[in-house]
Amino acid sequence: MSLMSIGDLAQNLMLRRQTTALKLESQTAAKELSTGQASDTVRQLRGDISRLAGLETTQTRLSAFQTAAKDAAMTTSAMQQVLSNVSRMTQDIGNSLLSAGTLGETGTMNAVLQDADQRFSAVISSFNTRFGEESLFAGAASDRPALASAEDILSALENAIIAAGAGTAEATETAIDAWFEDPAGYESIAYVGGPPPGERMISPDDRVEIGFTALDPAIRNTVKALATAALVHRENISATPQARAQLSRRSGELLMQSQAERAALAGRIGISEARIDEASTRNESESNALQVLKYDLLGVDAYDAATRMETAQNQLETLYAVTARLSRLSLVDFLR
Amino acid sequence: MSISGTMSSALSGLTATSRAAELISSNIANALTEGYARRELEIGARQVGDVSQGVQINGVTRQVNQVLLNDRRLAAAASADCDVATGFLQRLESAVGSAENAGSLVGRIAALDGALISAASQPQSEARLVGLADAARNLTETFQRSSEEIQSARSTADTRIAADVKAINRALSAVAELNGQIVAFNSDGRDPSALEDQRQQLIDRIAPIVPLREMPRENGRIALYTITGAALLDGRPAILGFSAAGVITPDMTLASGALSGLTLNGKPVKTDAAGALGGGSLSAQFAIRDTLAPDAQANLDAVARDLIERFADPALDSTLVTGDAGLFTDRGLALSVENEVGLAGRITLNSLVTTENGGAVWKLRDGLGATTPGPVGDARLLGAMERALTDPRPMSSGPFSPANRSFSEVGAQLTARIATDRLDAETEASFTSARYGALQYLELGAGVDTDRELQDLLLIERAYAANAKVVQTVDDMMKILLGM
Repeated sequence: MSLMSIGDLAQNLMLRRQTTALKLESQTAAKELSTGQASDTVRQLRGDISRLAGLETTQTRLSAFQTAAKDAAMTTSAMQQVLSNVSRMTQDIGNSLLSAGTLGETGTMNAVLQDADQRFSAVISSFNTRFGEESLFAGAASDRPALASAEDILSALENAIIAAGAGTAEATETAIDAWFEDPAGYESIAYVGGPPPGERMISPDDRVEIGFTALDPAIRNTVKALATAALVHRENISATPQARAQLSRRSGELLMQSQAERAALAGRIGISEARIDEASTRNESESNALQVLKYDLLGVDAYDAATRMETAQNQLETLYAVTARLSRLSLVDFLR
Repeated sequence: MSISGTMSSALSGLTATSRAAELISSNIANALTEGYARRELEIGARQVGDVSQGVQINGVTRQVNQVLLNDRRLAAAASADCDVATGFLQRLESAVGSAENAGSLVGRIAALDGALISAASQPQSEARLVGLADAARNLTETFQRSSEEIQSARSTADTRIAADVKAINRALSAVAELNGQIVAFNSDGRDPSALEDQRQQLIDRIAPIVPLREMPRENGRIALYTITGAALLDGRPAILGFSAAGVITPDMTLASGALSGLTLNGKPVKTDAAGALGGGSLSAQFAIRDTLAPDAQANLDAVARDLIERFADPALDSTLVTGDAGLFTDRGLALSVENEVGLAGRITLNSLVTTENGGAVWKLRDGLGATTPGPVGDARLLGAMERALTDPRPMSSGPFSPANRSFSEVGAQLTARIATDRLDAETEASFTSARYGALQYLELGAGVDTDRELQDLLLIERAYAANAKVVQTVDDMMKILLGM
């Protein structure tokens, strides 16, 4: 039976099936050639997509960590900027306060004290710098300034001195020291920020501490030194000229000390910056490595894809030619 | 009487050849009709008295290879079975998404993780908290969408079953009627071939739905049996019973009675592949409705439950007490373990953090139960949530092998499971479809070949001319006789 004839529909079915299969194959190859990726990733991975999913997840996380690392880098660099601003503002005034206090010459001393008073406000506003939406030294309460206004600090300090009944320069110094160490003093009145904000995640493994607040001794002592000078300048506390000179000298000394402490703080921030930088580099290189791995998993050999496409197209063209020839090849055309 | 005998022979030849030409024209006209079986004229030498005189038409045969036809029908059923299952798995896979796609389940989980990291980096940033809420909502939407897809696949299957059952019932009664007509034609000596073609087409139409075998009975009648031996038609047609449920929700099952089973002549029959009507697309649709889709739903629910549990731990968010709903909720409520079925379709973001419900995004940072905003730079809760998402923990339910997994690994497991199922189904489907194609090719190969018909026509033309020549010669001979 089958040797004697082949039904027309059978030939048609065969041609149709082959055309569809070849078209599909050439389309798949063309897609793979243009994207460089397997068109069916699951098939390429033989169903085991857990590694691919892991890669994708890790890449998304790394890019988020990279954002976090950049945030942290910008915050720390803004902190360094503030510290260097403060150092620039207080550099000369320390020396001047010290010498004016030592010499005790009233005119010079008043001029220097006035300068110190103005810089007190400037330094406070420096420590209250906001970077983006973030108040740098206010800890977790980063929507608020770190320090209260100069006036608030001074009046609170003055009240404390009066309450202590300090008459002499030494007693005033002690009262000032005590207020700055007292949890109900500096910490609750001058410092209006929040508790330390905790570590930040900057890479899958790294946590970095950048919660440097205005409670840090470096900043506390800077404020203390300048507040002492401002207090003397504003004559809010009754003091003899000798006491004023002594307090000016003391303020100068404190300022010189705080210089070193601020340098140390800048050093600590610098260490964090270095860690952030390292983490950022690691994130970047890991992300690149994952990208390469992903291409290894999903990529198709371009040469292979091109060959498959070429072959499929050739076959398809041949099939078209055969189809045309076969459809012309009918006994009808030869019967006259 | 030899001259008139000659005349009679020649005339019988003319009749036979013109009948043959008629059949050839019918064959050529139906060259493209599927289900049309080629007709052949059966002729034999005619015996008149004790001499053989002329040709006689014994009948018309439909050229059907019954074995091949049955095999092709069974292959069609097997192929339809695999295609239906593959179609469902492909649909499921595209709902859950491919891992490298950002809109997939895995991609959404990664995006939530990333949003938590970003928000923890700048907890005072409203934009990042909103981004976090969006990422969380997107993840719940992926769950809901996948769940909807699964249930709509069940509804579709249910509707298809109803349509298939109706088609089978209608086809069976039509076949029974045709059986009767064919018997009548045969007893009258008329040619029932066209009716047989119609009958074959009708059966072909339901063959992919239920794998069936055609058994010849007396007088051209046929009987239909499924491969598992249930009689669909033997004398009188069987009646299948089924009622569609309309919209299907996850809690509706065959066991709960909310979904209809199948009856054969009023008696309930099993609906799985080994059941009385199993093996074709009908049992495949039942499999989707009653096992494949509910299993997929259960897997998805287990993953959704894992997500809810990760964020509902009071140790994570100190403003919550045990029993409070966490960041992810069962439609606003805390997870209730006995109500896990369909959870994936109900998972929503806690309305305490969505602005459209009067919530506030700062609660993501300060705790869902917080009444006033805390320090804006406090990233502890956000960091803890990130760890809750990534820390390996065992799942409370689901078919996954017991192991500690991070949530992204859980999502990957689910995706991988679906992907592997789809691959397996596709491999099997390509095998059954190749087999079906091969059998179809063989069957169509025995169909009408116009070249062959034309060759036959040439022969017939010549035979007709020869017979006509004989008639003419006999006529001449008669004239000679009459002219004497």
